[in-house]
Amino acid sequence: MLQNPRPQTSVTLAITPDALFAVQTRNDGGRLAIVKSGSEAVPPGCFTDGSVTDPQHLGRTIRTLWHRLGFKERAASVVLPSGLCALRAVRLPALSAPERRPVVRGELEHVGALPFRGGAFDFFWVEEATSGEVALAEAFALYTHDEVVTGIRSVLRYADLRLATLEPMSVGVLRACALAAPAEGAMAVLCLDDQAADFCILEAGQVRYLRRIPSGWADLQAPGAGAPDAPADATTAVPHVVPFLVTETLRSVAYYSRVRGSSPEPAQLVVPAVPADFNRLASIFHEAAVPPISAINPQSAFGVELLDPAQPPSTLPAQLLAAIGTGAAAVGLQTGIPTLDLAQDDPVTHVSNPWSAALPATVGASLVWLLLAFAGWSALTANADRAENDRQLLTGRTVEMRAKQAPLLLQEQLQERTRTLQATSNLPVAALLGQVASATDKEISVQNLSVGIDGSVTISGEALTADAVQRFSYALAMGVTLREPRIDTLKQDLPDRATFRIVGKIVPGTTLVKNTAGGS
Amino acid sequence: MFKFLSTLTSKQQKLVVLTVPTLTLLLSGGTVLPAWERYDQAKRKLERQRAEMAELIRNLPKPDASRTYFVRNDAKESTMFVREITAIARGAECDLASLSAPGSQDVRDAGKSGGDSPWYISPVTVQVSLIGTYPNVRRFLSGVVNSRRVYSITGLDLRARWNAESGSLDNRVSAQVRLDRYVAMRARPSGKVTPSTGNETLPGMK
Repeated sequence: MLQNPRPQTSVTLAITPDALFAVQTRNDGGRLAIVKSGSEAVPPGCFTDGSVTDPQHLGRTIRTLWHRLGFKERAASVVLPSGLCALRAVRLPALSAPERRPVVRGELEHVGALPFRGGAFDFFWVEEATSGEVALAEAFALYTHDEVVTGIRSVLRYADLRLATLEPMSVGVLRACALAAPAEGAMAVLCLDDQAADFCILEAGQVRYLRRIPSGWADLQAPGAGAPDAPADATTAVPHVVPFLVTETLRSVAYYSRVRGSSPEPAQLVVPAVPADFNRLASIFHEAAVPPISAINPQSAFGVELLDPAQPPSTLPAQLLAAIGTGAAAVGLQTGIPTLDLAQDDPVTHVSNPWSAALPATVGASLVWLLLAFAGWSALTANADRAENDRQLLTGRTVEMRAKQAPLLLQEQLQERTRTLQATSNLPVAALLGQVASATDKEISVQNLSVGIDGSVTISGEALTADAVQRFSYALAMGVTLREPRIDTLKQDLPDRATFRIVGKIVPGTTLVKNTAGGS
Repeated sequence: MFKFLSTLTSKQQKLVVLTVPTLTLLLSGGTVLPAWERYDQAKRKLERQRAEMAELIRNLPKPDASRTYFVRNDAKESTMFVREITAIARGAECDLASLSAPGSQDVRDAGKSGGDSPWYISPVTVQVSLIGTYPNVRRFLSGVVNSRRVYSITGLDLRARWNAESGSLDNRVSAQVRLDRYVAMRARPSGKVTPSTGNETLPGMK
């Protein structure tokens, strides 16, 4: 089966609030070679309370350092300061390798060290000597928050780099110590940070014991911290006390000797420190019954220049050694101390963060939705404008048409009014005259015919006989124009002469029919 | 941008996942819905305007041009009226004796045309005296009814004439025809109409 070849060179970054350090390492046939190293000041404001607050700015700073040192690597390992991770030891039954990680996570979650399905951790698995029938093991777990890992990842993303491994500082220091001073027996390493120290015992180059002591350089450098050469001022004199770090170190050595009775006691206590700090530390430890203390620093052990020799910070040797040690693991050097990667993929945490998976789809879909909404808004606005323009055009034409039609409309209305007036007033007198003419015979002489405005008709005249008058009246009644004719008066003045008067009524009626065919 | 999003913490990612779609929906709804309402309103207005236009075209006013229903009340109106009545009487072989207005009866109705139009239709009553045979008088009346201009015959008084020379009734009758003609006039601002005098007498009438 093919395996991923280890890179020939690797770059490891140590990031502190003041500066970032880069060390390029190479595997020269099983020997560690330091190719390049350099540092860059961290811009103020990138760190707040130990966490990265401006990853973009810090990423640009890393990029600057990358270009300055001429690195070609696309990935980097990062050393995590001890203050950003915690350590806890968990005693468990001996387990097979695949079972260990879920069980250790369960224990850490159970004690509240890790949030449920969250956090990042890795561990050293140390098998203990079989006691009775149950084989026991101790897991020394180092863990940190998701935000720390995410912050480091984001910094490297802004620097166009990929995070290869994220290893706690003390692990890198242990590996560097194992490389620099390989010992057959046991060796204790005290890796000091500002606020904490990791105490470790290596036996034949392998981790046997690890614990966190909540005391660091800051406690040792406090006035009256027990140093015999501290200024003895009469007014500010502080009673000589054995520092907490020393007592805890002694207690740890004693505990290890008691629990691991068959294991050899550490022959020396190695502390990464510059000479000035080491002298101060040695003076504090000199009265305690600890193994002989010795210093290790990157300059003496690996020939790496201290980057600020004038006044190097106390943690600088440990950080550089950690970068060297982590870089040694990155190029595949076998030291007996496995890589302890806090940034490794953990399927459990992947399940616990569905938001990360949903984020690109959500944002992408939202963008598409916004684009569609914008397109819809544009189309609707354009259509609304077009409809409004059409309506205004149509309104103008309607007004124009109404203006053109107004005279015709007025004429039609006045015609209709005239028609109404005529229908109520016109009397059919021509038809009446025709009816009278047709009803008149030789014995009738109509001398007077009057039609009143109310339609009342009076016909008077002379006749030869009364019978003629009756026939005349009857004939009038047969017509349709004169309604209800009746003989009002009839006088037989002479035998051959009678005068008469017939009254009746005609109804006003229109003779006009609207010309539906129209006209111009 | 996705590179930036991947640098966020899980809490920030959760916040983004929850807020971005919500804000997107609110933003899109806040922009698209008013635009849709505006478009819908504009479309409805356009449809109403189209319907109004179609109604206008469908109901084009078609005044009857075959007859003269009314004449504008101006100086020429009475002259034209006398000329037409004279022509009708002449055509009916009647002698036009007189043509006069009956005074206070000249305006019986003032019909407003409707709407906001200031025009009114007013009937002007005229009394026409003529002499002719019975059939001629009847022909005159038919001529009036069928003339191009619209008249209403509102009264008739037909009397036989005594011929003193022959000592018998003359074959001609005298007729007094009362008829209305219609004029269009404008209302004064006070709302009163301006009637025509209607008192036109043709010189030389019998």
